[in-house]
Amino acid sequence: MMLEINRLSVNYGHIQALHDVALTAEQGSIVSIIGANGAGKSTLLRTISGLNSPKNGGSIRFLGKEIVSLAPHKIVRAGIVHVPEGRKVFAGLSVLDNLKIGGFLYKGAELQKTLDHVLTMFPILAERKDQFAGTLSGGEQQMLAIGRGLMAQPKLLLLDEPSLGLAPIVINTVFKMINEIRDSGVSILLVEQNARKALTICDKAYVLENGYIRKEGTGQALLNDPDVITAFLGESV
Amino acid sequence: MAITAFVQTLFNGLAIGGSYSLIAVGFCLVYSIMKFTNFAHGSMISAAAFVSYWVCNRFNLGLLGSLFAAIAAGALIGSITEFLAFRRIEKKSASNFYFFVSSLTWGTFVEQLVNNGVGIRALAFPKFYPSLSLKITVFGTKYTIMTNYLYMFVSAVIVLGLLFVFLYKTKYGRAIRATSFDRDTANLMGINVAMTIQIVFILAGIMAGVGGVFLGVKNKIYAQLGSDVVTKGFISSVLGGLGSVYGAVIGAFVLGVVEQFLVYFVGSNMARVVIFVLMLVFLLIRPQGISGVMVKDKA
Ligand SMILES: Nc1ncnc2c1ncn2[C@@H]1O[C@H](COP(=O)(O)OP(=O)(O)OP(=O)(O)O)[C@@H](O)[C@H]1O
Ligand SMILES: [Mg+2]
Repeated sequence: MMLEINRLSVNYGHIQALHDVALTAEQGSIVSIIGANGAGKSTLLRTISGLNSPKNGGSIRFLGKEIVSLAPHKIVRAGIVHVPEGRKVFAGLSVLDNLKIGGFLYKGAELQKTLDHVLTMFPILAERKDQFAGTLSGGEQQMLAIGRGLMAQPKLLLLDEPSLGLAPIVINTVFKMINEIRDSGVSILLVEQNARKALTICDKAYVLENGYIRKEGTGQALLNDPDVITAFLGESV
Repeated sequence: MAITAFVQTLFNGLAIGGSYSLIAVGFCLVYSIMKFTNFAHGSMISAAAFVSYWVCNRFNLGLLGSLFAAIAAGALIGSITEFLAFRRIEKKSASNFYFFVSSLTWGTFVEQLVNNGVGIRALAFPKFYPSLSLKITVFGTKYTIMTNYLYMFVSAVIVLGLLFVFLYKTKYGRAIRATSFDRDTANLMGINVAMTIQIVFILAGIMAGVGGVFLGVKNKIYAQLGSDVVTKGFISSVLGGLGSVYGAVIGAFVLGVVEQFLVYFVGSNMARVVIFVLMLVFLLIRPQGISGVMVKDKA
């Protein structure tokens, strides 16, 4: 198992944002997490990548190794890369510098190789490479955020709402990229508001509600689940 | 104003501005990454200058040796300052008021140590230059410039040049810029934030050390040497636009030049008053500074 999470609980002061969350992700798969605003989706990703610390007793095993107490920069080294909600590009740095910072752990020929790969994958970034990242459009910034994540050569990529605020046509491009990334061998943990797309693309999905995992199953099964349909797919049964 | 006087005043301003820029840039780098003012910055200047003086006397060093001693001392003091006055508090993510108290306390303590080391009379570096002033002929006109100012200016330009290469061409420089922008996201890129902050304080300490030696040659060495000039560093970085390194450099040179012209026209006592009035007026008109970046303080 690539990622195995057990009994993960996270507090913000007195507010408990995650309750005993358990989740697994297999190598080469896309696992989606859907849930309403405030369900705890970002908290889950932030805890996996080390930005938030869980309560004692929780476990996050990555490729068989416990990573729960590691600092974020060490978790990147282990192979988990988090593309945060809201893109978070370094607005005052050039597109190229943003990408190079994504590849902070590498240098020389290896850095250049990944850079060439990412620039081929996202030609728009190659075109804009000397521009400040803050001047890119929302869609371009999302491409940059994903490209920057790939620069760290992840084994597992955590994507937090990559389609947020994008036009439908751009959303399609983003999901095409996600598929392409998985086909290149990178496993993906995808948090999405766009439940239909997230369930269609994934191998397995979880429904998170008020910090609890309420449902889990294949994307297909959840797409046909009456509760999921009413809550997330906007259709009456 | 005769052309000779004009050129000489301009040059003095640029030289003084060079020393301000070393202080302003160090201050600005720390501010950008911490979003908080290091009130111990002035003490780093005095302490590095004092250590350099001590080493210089002990081992009979010239200017270059004294500069290297100041660089080493500045780097060490910078890194201790970060560790003692910021890191522990940063970890507990306490209120910014604690940064204020801890950096002020640490700075006062260091200044007091220097005070005890210096004794009652300010210390003077040995004579570094064969002659105090140089005569230079350009296009048939003779100019007299202070040797110390010439070295001060050249060193400031070299140090700033190296700093810019480091910030814009190396991966650790990029890490500093990224971490100053968004610490959490930089951390997610594999950047060790604590180490990056440590590097910034070391850089600030190095620049404080280089500035301290030249100011020490100019004004002698005493405990408040740093805090007397650090205000000029603060002003420069606000003048340039708080948080912008380019802005801090430009602000420092503008401040140095304006100050020297004021000294020329109204004398050094009045200049000290007028410069602060000008500064206040400037802040009222353009609080975002020359470069136009407006930084919101954490506090
Ligand atoms: N820094 C914080 N301090 C206090 N509470 C927080 C903090 N961050 C999140 N929370 C709370 O934790 C809960 C989960 O938040 P989280 O951001 O993980 O939700 P989310 O599922 O990602 O929501 P969204 O879809 O809106 O991004 C929310 O109730 C939120 O208010
Ligand atoms: Mg979220």
